[in-house]
Amino acid sequence: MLLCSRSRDLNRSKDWVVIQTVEKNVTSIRLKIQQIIDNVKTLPSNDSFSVIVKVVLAVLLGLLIVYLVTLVVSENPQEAFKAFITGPISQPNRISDWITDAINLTMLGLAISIVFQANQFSLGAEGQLIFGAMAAGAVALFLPPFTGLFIVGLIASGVAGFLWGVLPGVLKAYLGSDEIVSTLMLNFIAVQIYDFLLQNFFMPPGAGAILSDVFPAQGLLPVLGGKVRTSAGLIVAVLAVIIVWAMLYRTPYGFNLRMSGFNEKFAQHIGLNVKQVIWLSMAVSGIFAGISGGILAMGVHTRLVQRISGGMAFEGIIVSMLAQNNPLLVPVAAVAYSYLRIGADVMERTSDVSREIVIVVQAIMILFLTVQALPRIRNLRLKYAFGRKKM
Amino acid sequence: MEQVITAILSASFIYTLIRISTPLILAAMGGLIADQSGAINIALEGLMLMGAFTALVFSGWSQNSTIGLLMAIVSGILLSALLALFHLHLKADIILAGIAINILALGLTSFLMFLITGIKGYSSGIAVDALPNINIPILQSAPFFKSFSGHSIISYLSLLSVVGTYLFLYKTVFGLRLRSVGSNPSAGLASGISVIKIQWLAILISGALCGLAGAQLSISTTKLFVTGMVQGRGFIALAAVLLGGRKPLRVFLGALLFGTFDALSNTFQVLTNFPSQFIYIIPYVATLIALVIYGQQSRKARQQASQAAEAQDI
Amino acid sequence: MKLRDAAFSNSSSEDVFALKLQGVSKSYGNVRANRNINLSVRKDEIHAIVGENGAGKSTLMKIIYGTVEPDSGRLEVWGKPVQIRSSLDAIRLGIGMVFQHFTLAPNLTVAENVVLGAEPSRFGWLQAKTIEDVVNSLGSSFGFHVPTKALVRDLSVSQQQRVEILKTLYRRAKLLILDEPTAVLTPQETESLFDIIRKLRAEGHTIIFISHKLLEVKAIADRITVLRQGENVTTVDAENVTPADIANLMVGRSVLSKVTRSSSKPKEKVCEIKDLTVLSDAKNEVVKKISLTIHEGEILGLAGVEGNGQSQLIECIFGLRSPKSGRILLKNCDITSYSVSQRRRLGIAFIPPDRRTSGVAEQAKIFEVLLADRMSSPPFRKRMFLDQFQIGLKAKELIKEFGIKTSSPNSPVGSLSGGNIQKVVLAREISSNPKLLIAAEPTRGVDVAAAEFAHNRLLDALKQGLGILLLTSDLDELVLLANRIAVIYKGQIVAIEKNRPGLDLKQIGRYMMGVDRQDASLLAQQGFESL
Repeated sequence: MLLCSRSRDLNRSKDWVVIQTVEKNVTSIRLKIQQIIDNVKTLPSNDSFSVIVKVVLAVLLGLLIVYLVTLVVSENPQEAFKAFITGPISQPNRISDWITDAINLTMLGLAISIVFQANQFSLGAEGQLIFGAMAAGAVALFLPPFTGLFIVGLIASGVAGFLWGVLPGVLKAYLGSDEIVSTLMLNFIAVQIYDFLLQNFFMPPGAGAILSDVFPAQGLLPVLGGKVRTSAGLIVAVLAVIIVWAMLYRTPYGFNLRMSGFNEKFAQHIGLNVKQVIWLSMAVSGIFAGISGGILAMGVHTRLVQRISGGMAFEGIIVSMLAQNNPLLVPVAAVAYSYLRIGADVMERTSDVSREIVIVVQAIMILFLTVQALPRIRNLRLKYAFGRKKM
Repeated sequence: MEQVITAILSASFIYTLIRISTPLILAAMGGLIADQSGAINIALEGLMLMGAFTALVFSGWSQNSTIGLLMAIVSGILLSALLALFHLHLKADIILAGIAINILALGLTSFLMFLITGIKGYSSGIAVDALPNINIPILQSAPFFKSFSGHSIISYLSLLSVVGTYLFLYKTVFGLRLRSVGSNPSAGLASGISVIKIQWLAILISGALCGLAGAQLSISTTKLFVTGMVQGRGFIALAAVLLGGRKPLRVFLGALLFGTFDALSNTFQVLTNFPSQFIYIIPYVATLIALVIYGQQSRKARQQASQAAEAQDI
Repeated sequence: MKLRDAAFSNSSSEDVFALKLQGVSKSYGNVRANRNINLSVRKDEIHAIVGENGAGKSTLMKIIYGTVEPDSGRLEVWGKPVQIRSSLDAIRLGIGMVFQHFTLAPNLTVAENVVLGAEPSRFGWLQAKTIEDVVNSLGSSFGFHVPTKALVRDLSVSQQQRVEILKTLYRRAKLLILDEPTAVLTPQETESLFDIIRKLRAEGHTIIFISHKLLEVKAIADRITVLRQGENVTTVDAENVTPADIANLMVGRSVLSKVTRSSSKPKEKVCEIKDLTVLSDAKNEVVKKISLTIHEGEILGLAGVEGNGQSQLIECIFGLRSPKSGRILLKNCDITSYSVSQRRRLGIAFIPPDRRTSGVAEQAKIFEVLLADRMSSPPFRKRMFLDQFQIGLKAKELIKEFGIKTSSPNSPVGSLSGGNIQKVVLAREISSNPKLLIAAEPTRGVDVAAAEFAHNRLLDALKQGLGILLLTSDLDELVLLANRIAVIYKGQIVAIEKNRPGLDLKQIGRYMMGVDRQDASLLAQQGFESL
């Protein structure tokens, strides 16, 4: 009797287990679907609709300014503005330029979005880019050429950027040095080191201009496409977007970074090593800035040239701001913003309006966006930057 | 090497040093005043660029260097007003707004320069009335001191600006209030002082000084405007503020130090094979080191702050 | 009745009041900070205002100083009805305030700080000599000297306080409000402050002195007003009362939720704290050689007036602050040098007192905050990546279990109400299955229902055999939940009582005020005794 009941119990419990498993599976599938829906819903932006409106407004404002300026300064404003608007897609080589520019802006935007998400403020992308270009150049010029050399070059540029990012990161995290000033100083230092190495090591003896040799073919990024062409940098950029997104939103490391960016105190309470997060965020950001330097050297200039960065680091800031620091929006912002840049280039070539107008537009867009955007960055106690003596 | 030493000890080196340091000193004083009010002005660079451009254009247009000089000051004030407006009223972050001002100055000057000259990159074809050099007879006869004579009015103004900044910050009511606001805004508030008003003025003053600094570059040292000709001097001035620990005289010495290394790297470049870049780098490294030291100090200060704050709880 | 409104019954026509408040009320949302407060401060007297934290002292002072506008009530200053809309109004009326947090500019000299805003000057130039003289003579006329040329940041806290007092005197304040002025001072410094205060009174100033240190209040004040839960309980002449009387008036009871406390027998030790000494940020010893034991299935309540070292103590146990000396054992494992994450892994959980600022990140999503402490470990981590599925599953489970009202686990935490934010924190900390749960002010600022929910959750968790260290400023909550109550005063445990029916709350209050303490041997016995 006892035995019997026990076996029945056993049977029942078996059934129970089966039922439970089925139920669990059903719920889990339902949950999974819900999860996917949730994800899709929240993918584009973690901020509100109004933010998107503001970004769109910023771009429209930029276009409006260009239009008004052409009206004032141009002999033939309609033509000039048309060149600006349709320029980037008017010829295959211009489309190529556009894509190439967008690739670099994407990489820099990603770099900045990482530090901004950690609530840090690096202006160091410039120096990291320079070191990345230098590392790529060293690999391409001094290693014996072999197939896939460019991959080694890209890796080297990422490592160089990382290391040049470690420095201000560690200074900030462990010594409390303000990262704005330190990254600025490190940019200047990087420029000088680059100049020195370019003139003394990379420049072939007896060369007339301060340029390195063109890299061997294996050290150049493979060309993609036919009429509209770009380099393998495109693949790198696409991968980078996915990697940064996955890192920020799908790994514990990114989770920690975002949490300590949201609220350092909270991060400490849940047991995160905030200092480590700070320096790592600046270093990891350096990887992407560094690789963008590699792409510039191995995919655009095909050699090391003077002033290779050309102030691109600040462009990364506006791209990241336009994208609300969201890595998935960074390429969108980069494509839109580089469209303006290339449009201005075309306008300059085909009309009497100079391309610098786009720099003015950039400045005004930043001003416009800072007014509303980045409320968190504002809390950065920036008034006390420079390690201001506070009682 | 001997050549270098003789070059450094020569009167012309001192002369060059003063000329090179002039814009740095002025911009550093501007940066110092803004910083003392608690509004870190990262736009020094752009303000200088704007000043350089305006000075050249108006000097060329009016063939009167004084008008160029005055307009440079006005342009610095106007552009810094934009910064103040966005930071103080529209609550834009001052660093990002400062970056935007820098970019704006870069874009605006090159765009307008193209409009005026039709040529990109530099002010070709604008004949400028350069600022006259002022000779001081007493100094001219002395062997060493003669290098202090024959500078532009701006160089002498830059030296005056150091004294002026000191007197302003430490001897006037306004300077006192300015420092109190930068030191602890709630101290100002508790005493009925308008923080925004003070910071407005501090930013405008820094704009005026930067405009002056820019004029030195375009209508005294050279007689032309080149796109981006400030070449990071604004940031160097900012570094000098830090290096000098926010004290006028020390900031002045900091600016002079940067100027010295700049001049030195020129000398080395001309006379030796020694890579000038490494000399040029020294001040930046020094600033980094200063930053680390100040970082530590501010920590100690923070500890004091918590002492005061927590004292209530014990 | 005799004590209540003593001021009014005593007042006669020749009495001149420096300050008179009638029926002043102020609410912040649902919280009534001040309820119908009547206060009369006579001219030339030292009037102390005492009360627990949250009794409404600081709100009242802000109303008087014009930084907060009352919802209703009348103010009279020097016998005239007034409306004080800003601190400038208050200054004009001759009211000076020395805040707990000094409003001095650290990079300015003493003299500069004193004259700031009303500088002696000629054509905009500071009259340095005059400034020095004025400040010096001002100081010496009230019998205290401060180095006028020193930078404020180099001064000691007590000197800074004197600068603050000088500042109000320079502005011709006749009514001075000192907010917890002795909190920052050593006994000697306190004595000399009292000398200054008496001197000020002699010179015709009126002083309002806010404190919760009863012995000092008794020593300095002419009259004492006791606030409790936003109401003024009474005003008494200092001569006629003992500190114990005041303590009794201060300790009140609030209406609380009903919970059933389990009487399960506490068993093994969960956590032992041995001779723990902890430094504050300013390197003062704020926890002095504290030893405590927390058992399985037990709530040890920690009672104390805020600022007696309890926050540093719990921070140290949790690993946010390292101790100067002493040891912390968790289940016989020495965790003294472990990081927060190591401690969490070993089973310490923490409900921080300021939940909005350190318990959650408001921009983060609910599911992220719910599981923030365990994202790096399985099952939520699969190799390099987060397992979104497991995270979602667990988050939804917790949201359901703890009744967190939200449309989606993807909403930002900041969109939740205060009660729900508290539930998020509770859910995270309790669901981490800790061995020791440190709960600091678990019901501060939430409504009755949410408080009741939290209490029941804590008691439920207790059944799983963990130990809870409960820190609360609400005595009733302590009595409701705790098995034992330890009282901390000036960084030391001065008493440990078993919570039993008929426990003398007033006695606990006296321990908290430092009026009384258990003797050392009894304390040691209580502390280590297994219940």
